[in-house]
Amino acid sequence: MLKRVGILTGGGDCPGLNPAIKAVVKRVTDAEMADKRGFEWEVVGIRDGWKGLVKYDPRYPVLPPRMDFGPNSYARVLVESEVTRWDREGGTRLGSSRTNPFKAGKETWPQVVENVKLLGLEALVAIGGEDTLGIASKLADKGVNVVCIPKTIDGDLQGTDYTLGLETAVNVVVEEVDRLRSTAQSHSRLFVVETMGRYTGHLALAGGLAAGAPVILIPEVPFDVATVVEILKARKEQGHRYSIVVVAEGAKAAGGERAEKAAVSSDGFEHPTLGGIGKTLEKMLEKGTGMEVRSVQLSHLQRGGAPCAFDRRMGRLFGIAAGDLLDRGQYGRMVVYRDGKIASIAIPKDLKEVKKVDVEALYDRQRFGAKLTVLE
Amino acid sequence: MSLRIGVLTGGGDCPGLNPAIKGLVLGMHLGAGRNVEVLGLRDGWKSLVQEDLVSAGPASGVFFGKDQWWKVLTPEMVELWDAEGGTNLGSSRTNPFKKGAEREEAVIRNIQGMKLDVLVAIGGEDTLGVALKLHRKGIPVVGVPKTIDKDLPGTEYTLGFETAVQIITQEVDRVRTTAGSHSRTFVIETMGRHAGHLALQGGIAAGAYVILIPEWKYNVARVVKLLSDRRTQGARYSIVVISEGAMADSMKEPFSSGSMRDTGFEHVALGGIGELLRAQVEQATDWDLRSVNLSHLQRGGAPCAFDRRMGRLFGAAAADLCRKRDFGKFVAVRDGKVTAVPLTEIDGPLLTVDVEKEYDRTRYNARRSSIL
Repeated sequence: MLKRVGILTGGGDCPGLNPAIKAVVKRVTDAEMADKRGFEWEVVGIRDGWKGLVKYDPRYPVLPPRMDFGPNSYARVLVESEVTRWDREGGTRLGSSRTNPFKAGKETWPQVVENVKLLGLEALVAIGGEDTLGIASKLADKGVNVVCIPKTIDGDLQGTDYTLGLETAVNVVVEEVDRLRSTAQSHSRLFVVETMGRYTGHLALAGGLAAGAPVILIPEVPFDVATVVEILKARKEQGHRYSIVVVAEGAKAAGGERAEKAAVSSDGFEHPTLGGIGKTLEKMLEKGTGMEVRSVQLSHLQRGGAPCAFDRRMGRLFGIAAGDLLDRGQYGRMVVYRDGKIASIAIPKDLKEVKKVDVEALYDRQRFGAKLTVLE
Repeated sequence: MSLRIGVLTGGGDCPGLNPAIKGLVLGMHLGAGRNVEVLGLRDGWKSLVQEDLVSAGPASGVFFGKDQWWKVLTPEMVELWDAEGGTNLGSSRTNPFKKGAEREEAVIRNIQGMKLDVLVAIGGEDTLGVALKLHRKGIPVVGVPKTIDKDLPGTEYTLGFETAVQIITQEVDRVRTTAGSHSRTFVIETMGRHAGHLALQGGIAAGAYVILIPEWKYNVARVVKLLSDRRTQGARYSIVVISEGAMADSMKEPFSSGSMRDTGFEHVALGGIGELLRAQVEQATDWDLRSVNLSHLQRGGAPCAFDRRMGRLFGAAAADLCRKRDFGKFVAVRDGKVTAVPLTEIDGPLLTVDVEKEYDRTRYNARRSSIL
């Protein structure tokens, strides 16, 4: 007997998606495993996230293995020999989109449910962040069998200590700050480095700590400009030629506004675009310290390039665990990393409630930096 | 309250030591009004076995002078250390408890002479083993675990491991271009001594087709069969990752050139099994194969983001133990969290790969099935 499982990636791309896809395909199409479970899985890759399941048209049937998507095709069979190199690549080979089938007034989810039936999908693996997995959760309520894999460089998903892409993004922050230090040191300049992370500071804090930034500003703790200026001036007096300030895109000054623009029409989930606090902070610090200040927005560099070794391994583990859930028919669940181990939980209902940085445990409110104690 | 601590790094260097020293110094100097001094000791235990550390005085500049064995570390001084691999304090394999050449009296005399309230030892099984022996003699010590082999008992992570895995991944990525262009199979030899963690995790991350580890003896004919089946399926090449401690089923002990470089602790230097396997496979087939021994490249270069963070956290946790005067422990990761465990745990058996759970004995690779 052959059962079909669909797999899609939604929302912003990040390194780790392709390793996860590879692992799901290898794990569920493994011949030895098929003998044990008594049936075989066929994996169907869905193009461009939820958009693919909205747009799928049976006149353009599922493509056979090793065929790339054509203009009108949204589904193709994935086999091991094809995905075997994918884990070395960033982004997602299946493509992604921000299509929201539950968008108010423009609901397309009945088409998704219909296409899941037309494609003959026993189950669907959704790899994504709060939006993509939120859709998966709603589809589960409509009777679709889903298994979720968490990804986001923001590291802010409920229920899991790790989301794919975070570690590679942290590595990028570190490498870019390493580069900026040459200029900062040579010209005795302050550098403000703006990271992604939306409304949480996981990426900024991990990146800032790893990069050795003395000041790290996160959305969870609005910063006091005068205090930051004092910290930077004191460092200069100690003899430091320069300082690195890492600021999360969602951070804001106490009493100030968050740097955000209204949702762009292409975003099916109506998220405002964040970014720009780095530039604002540059001006504030220049005025306050009298030093030369430059700001750099790392922007999409943080999501690009090949996955680091950690994301390749975690992508693989998440993919294998998703295969475990499929084999057991445990649907409506999300693979997670908790207390140093891979596990699974029911898809959290409150995915919109993002997980914030544990400020008490990890952040120093007085020094606006990573906390310097661990066991207290 | 005043606190004077000494810190040293012992054994093989690895990326993550300098971030740990920075984390320790910053953690110790946290808060105002503390009378704290962190003394960096040069070259591991070698400094403490000197006749007289005290009168030689501290090194004042960036470098240690000929007879200078320690210096005061300030937050300003270590500011940029976390971006650097290796150890800026230097290391050695000196063993103060070496049979027939015991120097522990000198160590204890120096620790007391320097008026150290506690000694922080950053190292692997040997260095932390010495720390445990000193602890048993009543010397206040705190340990920080490092080794790219990740085989220390009591902790889920040791500094240097993730950077080494990252390097294996990057080097295999490079080798693949030649492998693909010339249709050559490559045998990549990793470090790891008697544990296969580094080979297994490096092999997984690099997408190797065959991974051979010390915990499971391999059969050369079986390796040839696996590679030849894959060739039949159309693969132009394969990547084989082999741990330096791996053994063919005919071998009684790991391959070694026989040299005893690690004099202090009497370890035999491993290495060379990759080339041996390459020759054996070449003999059994008519394929073009090459072997690469990654060797010390795995321990070199700047720490990756993970080791910089973990180093900082490990160092900060060691500072917490010092400040709380909670001695006789080493920093560890348990259930994914940084904590501290008794130094006596370092006496336990080395943590090797759990073959049952992690390894596929037929495919000679990471187990693909069932994690949950």
